[in-house]
Amino acid sequence: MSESTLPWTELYRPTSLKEVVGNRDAIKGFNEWLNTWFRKMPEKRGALLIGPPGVGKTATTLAMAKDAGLEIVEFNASDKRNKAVIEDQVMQAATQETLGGELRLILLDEVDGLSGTGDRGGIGAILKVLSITLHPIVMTANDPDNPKIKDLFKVSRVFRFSTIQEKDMLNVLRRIIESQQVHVDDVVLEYIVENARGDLRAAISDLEAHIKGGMTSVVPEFASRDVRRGIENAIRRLLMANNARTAKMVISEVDIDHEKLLLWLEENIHLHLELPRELEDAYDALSNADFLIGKISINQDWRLLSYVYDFLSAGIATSRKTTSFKKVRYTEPTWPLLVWQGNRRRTKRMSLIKRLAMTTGVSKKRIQRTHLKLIDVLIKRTPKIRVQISEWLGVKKAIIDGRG
Amino acid sequence: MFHAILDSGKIWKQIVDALTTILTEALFVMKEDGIYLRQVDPLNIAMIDMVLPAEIFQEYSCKGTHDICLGVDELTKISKRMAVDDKIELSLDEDDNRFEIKMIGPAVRKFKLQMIKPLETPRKPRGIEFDVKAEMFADAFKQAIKDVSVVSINVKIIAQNDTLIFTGEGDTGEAEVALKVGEDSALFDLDIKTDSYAIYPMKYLSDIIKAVSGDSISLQFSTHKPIQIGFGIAEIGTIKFLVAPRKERR
Repeated sequence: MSESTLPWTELYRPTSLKEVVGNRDAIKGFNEWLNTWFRKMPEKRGALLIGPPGVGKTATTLAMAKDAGLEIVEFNASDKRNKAVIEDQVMQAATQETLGGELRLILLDEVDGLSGTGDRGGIGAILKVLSITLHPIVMTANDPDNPKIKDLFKVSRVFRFSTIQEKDMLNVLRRIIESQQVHVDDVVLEYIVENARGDLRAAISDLEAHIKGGMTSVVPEFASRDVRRGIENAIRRLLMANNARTAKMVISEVDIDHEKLLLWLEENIHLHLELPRELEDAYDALSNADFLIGKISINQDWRLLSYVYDFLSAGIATSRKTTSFKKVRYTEPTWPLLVWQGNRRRTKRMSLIKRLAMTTGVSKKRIQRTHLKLIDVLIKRTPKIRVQISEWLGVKKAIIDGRG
Repeated sequence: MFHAILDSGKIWKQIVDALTTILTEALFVMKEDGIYLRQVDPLNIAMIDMVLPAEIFQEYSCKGTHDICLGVDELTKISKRMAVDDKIELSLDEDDNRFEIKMIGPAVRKFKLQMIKPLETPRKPRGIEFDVKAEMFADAFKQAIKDVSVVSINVKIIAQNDTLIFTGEGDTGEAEVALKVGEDSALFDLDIKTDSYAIYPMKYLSDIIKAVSGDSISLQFSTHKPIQIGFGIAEIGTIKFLVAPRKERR
């Protein structure tokens, strides 16, 4: 297969243990276990590697097997794997010699993913294979608390893998960039690494998407892993942009509701802009966008929407003129909470007005204009009178209090 | 450029039958002097080594070397549609990345198969020295395997003195087939350097015997080492299977 068609996560798979980063202790123990096989059969014939995705469980296994000159047979989650397959194929692999007579490393990827009603059957079949195998069996799993794999703990050596540190990930990404002979800004690399949260495979494939997407200096765009992160990424990238075109591209590529985006920007924009002049420009753009959104909702004139996006993207991005970009933590907009609180207050107030209008036979408008004010004054002068008023109107005291 | 014509569909069927035994995808290497294929099964327990010299084809022309990887399932389905007396024309559509199989009989039927990307490269030949070499009727070998398969999931092959023994035991009982070398025997040649025995998986052997097309086969093995089962195809072509033994606990 030609190299260019391989995904980078495959192309840059470590070919030797020397290239594997992170999880030193786990890998050392794992390697010792595997090396025992050359002298004698270890007490536990299976190794269970547990850790989150993309931290090198499979990569370590393959690299180690390559270093030791073992044949590898891999049963990964995409294969049809059930009790029957394990009893037949895995069992064959576990009990037959290899053609060359060397050891065969059997890799069962994602044993916690055995699904269907055959689950227990699947694990049961693995246990049986483990008890008679004459070749090393390596299993990987993501979730240590998954009850399905509990039984494997007793009969396997367990090695725990944790997330890869950012500096290790950066080194790997730099190596890839070097071999691809492209330039990628450090800030982008750092962004990719941070975004991957210890998942090196995700980082590599994000880097591939970024470079193959034809951008080497612009901020990267990736599918959001969840909505909150989606919005945060969008804002971060928007504020990273230093021209209107990039800003518009960033915003057009994310799938975020314009009103939500407006609220998030309103809440967080001051974190990026330090000068009054910049803030003024940014809030101008926001208020223009908000004004247009209002127009749209009244007249349903959706043609205006593209201008909303112009203000939200180019308007915001270009307002950052002097302050340099830095990474900040965003907070969720408090505006919807304020609106909700306001609404609640208003419904309470409305129930009081309705009551007053019914009792006195006066219109609600008039109540608001004259009667309410009078009640306010009365309560302020003699607070005790609240009790009487609430009894008279048949309204809870709290409603009279709470109307503020 | 690759183009070949086979006079009978039967040979093509035999070729495909042999591939089906252990492979899920077949990586043919078309060379100027013939077609080669050497691959191991996904579990690395068995290997197939096939040589189809240009001379077995009625017409054969190939410029350069072409690696052609095809799904064995698809090949099997197509060969099932083939009549034994169809003339088979094979060619390569390099622009479209397709392999074309034309069956010429009462009707001309054309199948184009999408070529796939091979997962691995052809295996290097394994230079294995064998202690035992036996020549026997293919049929006798087939019967011996079938006999042992009644009771066992493994077959133990023992070569000592002038006798070749196939035995097996399972929960239900035991079976033994002994063949003494001789003029009138189904075993017409047995060359033993040292007395040897090894145990092989029935699953593989019973699949392989289905694909044996020649009249005679050659068996070669050593103690705790792979067994090689070889037979001819279309007079001068050869198909060799290599199967790993059961692993013995050290």
